[in-house]
Amino acid sequence: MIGEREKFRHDRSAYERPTLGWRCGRAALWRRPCARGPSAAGACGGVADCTPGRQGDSWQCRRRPADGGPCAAGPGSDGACSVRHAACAPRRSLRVWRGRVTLLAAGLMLSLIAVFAGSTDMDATRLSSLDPGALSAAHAHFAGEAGCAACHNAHGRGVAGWWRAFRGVGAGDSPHRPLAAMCLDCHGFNGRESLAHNHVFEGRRASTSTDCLMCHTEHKGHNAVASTITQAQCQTCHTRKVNGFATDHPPFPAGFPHDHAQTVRFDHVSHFGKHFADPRLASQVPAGGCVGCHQVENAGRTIKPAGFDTACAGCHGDAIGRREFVLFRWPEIESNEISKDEVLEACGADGETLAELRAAVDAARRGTPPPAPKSAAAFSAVSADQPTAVTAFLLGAPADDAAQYGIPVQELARAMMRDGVDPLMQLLARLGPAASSRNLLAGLNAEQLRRAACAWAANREYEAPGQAALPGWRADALELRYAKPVHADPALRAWMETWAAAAPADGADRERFAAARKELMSPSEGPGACFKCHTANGPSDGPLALRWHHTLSDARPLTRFDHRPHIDLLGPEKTCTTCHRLAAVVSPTGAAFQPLTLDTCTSCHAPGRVRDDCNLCHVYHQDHALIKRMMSDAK
Amino acid sequence: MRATRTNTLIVWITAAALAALGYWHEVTRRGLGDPTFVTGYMLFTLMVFLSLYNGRKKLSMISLGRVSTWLSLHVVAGFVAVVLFVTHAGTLWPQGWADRALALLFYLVTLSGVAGYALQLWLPGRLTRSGPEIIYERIPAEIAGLRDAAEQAVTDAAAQSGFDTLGRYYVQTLSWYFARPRYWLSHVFGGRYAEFWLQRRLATIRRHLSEAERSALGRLAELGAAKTAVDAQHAMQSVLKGWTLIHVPLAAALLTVATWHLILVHVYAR
Repeated sequence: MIGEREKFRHDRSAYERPTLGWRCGRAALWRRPCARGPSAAGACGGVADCTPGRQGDSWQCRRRPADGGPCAAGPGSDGACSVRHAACAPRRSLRVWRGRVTLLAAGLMLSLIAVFAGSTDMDATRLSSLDPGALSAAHAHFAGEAGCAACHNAHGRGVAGWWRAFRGVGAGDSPHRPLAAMCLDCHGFNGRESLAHNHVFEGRRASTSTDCLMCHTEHKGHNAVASTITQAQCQTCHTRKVNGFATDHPPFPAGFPHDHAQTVRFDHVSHFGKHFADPRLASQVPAGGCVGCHQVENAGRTIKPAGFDTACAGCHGDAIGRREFVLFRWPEIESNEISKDEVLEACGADGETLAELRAAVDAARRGTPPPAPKSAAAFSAVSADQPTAVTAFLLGAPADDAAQYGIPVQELARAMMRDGVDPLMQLLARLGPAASSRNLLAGLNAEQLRRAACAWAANREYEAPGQAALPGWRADALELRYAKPVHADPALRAWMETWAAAAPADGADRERFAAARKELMSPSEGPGACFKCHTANGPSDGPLALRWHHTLSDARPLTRFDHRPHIDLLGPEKTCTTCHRLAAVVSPTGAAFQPLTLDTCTSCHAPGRVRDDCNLCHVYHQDHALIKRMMSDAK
Repeated sequence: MRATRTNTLIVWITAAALAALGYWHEVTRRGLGDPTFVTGYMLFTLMVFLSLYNGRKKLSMISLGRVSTWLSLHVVAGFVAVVLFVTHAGTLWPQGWADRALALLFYLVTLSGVAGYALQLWLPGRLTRSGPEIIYERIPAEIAGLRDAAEQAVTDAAAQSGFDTLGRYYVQTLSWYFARPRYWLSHVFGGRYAEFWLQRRLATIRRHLSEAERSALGRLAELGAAKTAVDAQHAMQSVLKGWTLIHVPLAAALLTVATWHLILVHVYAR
């Protein structure tokens, strides 16, 4: 039995062929298998005990010794074995079954891929063999109806499109658009997108070309961050190795972070050191120290001031109303070029003319000669002033030469006497097309101006009816002025912006323009009080950039800072002065605070304390912005 | 000894290759390069190589190296594939149905492979200890032979003693045991349930038998013990052969989905 090794001798046991595709059906039923086993085609090989061999004229039994050797009956005369058995039903071998299941598994996968390849919408809950994972929340809604094709230009273009993409060839003759190029359909930067940090740094060679896909990955889930960059990755390019913020970070620049130009000037030193300490002003000082003026609840990279009305108006509100803008002043003229008849025809008779007429009529009744009219006396100008520099520039005449400005001024008065505001508008057109569109003279009463012009033409002061109560244009005495301006007055702002943008070309005009702009925008007098706080940057005779609002400095586009967590941690009272310590004097750059040093930050941002990796304060891209095309495509 | 040296060499070469791969991957990743394309192709190539092991067994007539060496390479390559997969995917459970199907298949193939390798380490020793080893294909004949011998012993006993007690008991009880392999699960896990069952049945009838029949019962006990050994061989060998019915088809499915993944990457990710 099992212990009998001899039974496995070659002549006593069957030759097993486990690699064949069939096995004996009797063995499958745990019966004694036949010696020969099934054929390669799966036919039973055990119908007969042997296949008799012919020897001369007779047939010889060739049954194996293992099966008992030659049988007694021997083969029949036709050579057939005389020991016959019922045929079995051979079964497939394990190997064949494994092959079949293997093919089935591969076929099943192919079928599933084919069936679910048709489901290509953006709904991540639907099965799709093209589904690479959900898009991040930032991108999920922008793909819109374009779906996958918004970024993958081979999508939906069939086998031919896939083959072209595989070979890197686009549709038609156009080259294949790489995936990174598709990003730029929506994303823009202030600099070349293929440069590290979108910028060529001074004194350094252009870094290795970069690609969006180097850092940004998608389809990692709805809440996934599309980009992650480690400190070690920063160190690959940066020649100065920063292994730790506290140990290796270069010192902050001198004056940091107050070393950039301020958009709204405010002298913290004098306010905190002098004005806020004055007991007489105690009721007007914003309460709460720093947070009295700065909107700590909206803290971000900066903590914007609350605005003029909240922070400044308590002390400075009335001063602005006194800084009126005189647009036109009737100047001293050497000779009157406008006849009385012209004035009478254009303006009608005024009180003085009527009095002269009445005197002439009375004299005629009495039979005495009429009194000599005042106009017949030697001419004496009602004004002893020069025209405003603005008027001089608009008229193209020097403000200090009555012989030169006399005629143009009277021409203007003559025109205003007839047409009111229009002549002034025509003059303002010299400032460029923007001047008329800005409606610089909005609210100016044309009739009042005409009446004033009549008075000036008649060499008299104009007596305005009533007093100015509200901001607006008003003619009074010898001037046309914008009275009682308020903070952020739209009319004055329009004047400032128009004059800031204008820049005449020729020499004489250039001088007069500079003088006029100085008169208009001077912080010390006139309406230019705005520029005691607001900044206007540029050449005196060229276009100026006006900064009305407190804006973020663009000096460090690759740096970020958030005040909020600092305030949350320390509380608004302590937080400000922890980092921003008032300086003794304002620096030449306008900084009122002592510079920040690394020690201030490293006291908290250090290993084992608060995060101190590069990404906490530095960003990779420079001024990333979305391009409008994405919005239009999404509609 | 030679196999041990070869295996040691394979392990060291693999460890060095993995260390080099890890270094290259980190340097590339730090340099904002994209190592996934290379690791993906390496993984796919490794999968193809792993699948060649099955082909090697089919081509036993060609000298393609020792099977033991192939097995060592298969095991080590499988381990490397797991490392590469995690490195390539960057996560254990990726997003998206297609990638999840790929990951699931990979894990199933890995688990079935580990299980198969464990079986190959565990069962052969037990096969040797359980008695003379029998070629798997010859087990039906062996069982048939044992059955024939048992029936012959019972018939002879009836003829000699003139009683049919043992004969009827064999037909009613013991023939079930000799008909085919029994207690497969017990044998796989090294249990002795079959042995206990047989001894209990033989002990139950012993006191009812004549002297001549008791002699035949002793013969039946010998044959039963031999049958138990054959059953153990059958159970363990069928496990060793049968696990490939899971591993190989899963590997084929994995290769199919991996090929699809490769196509998608070339079409969509560039």
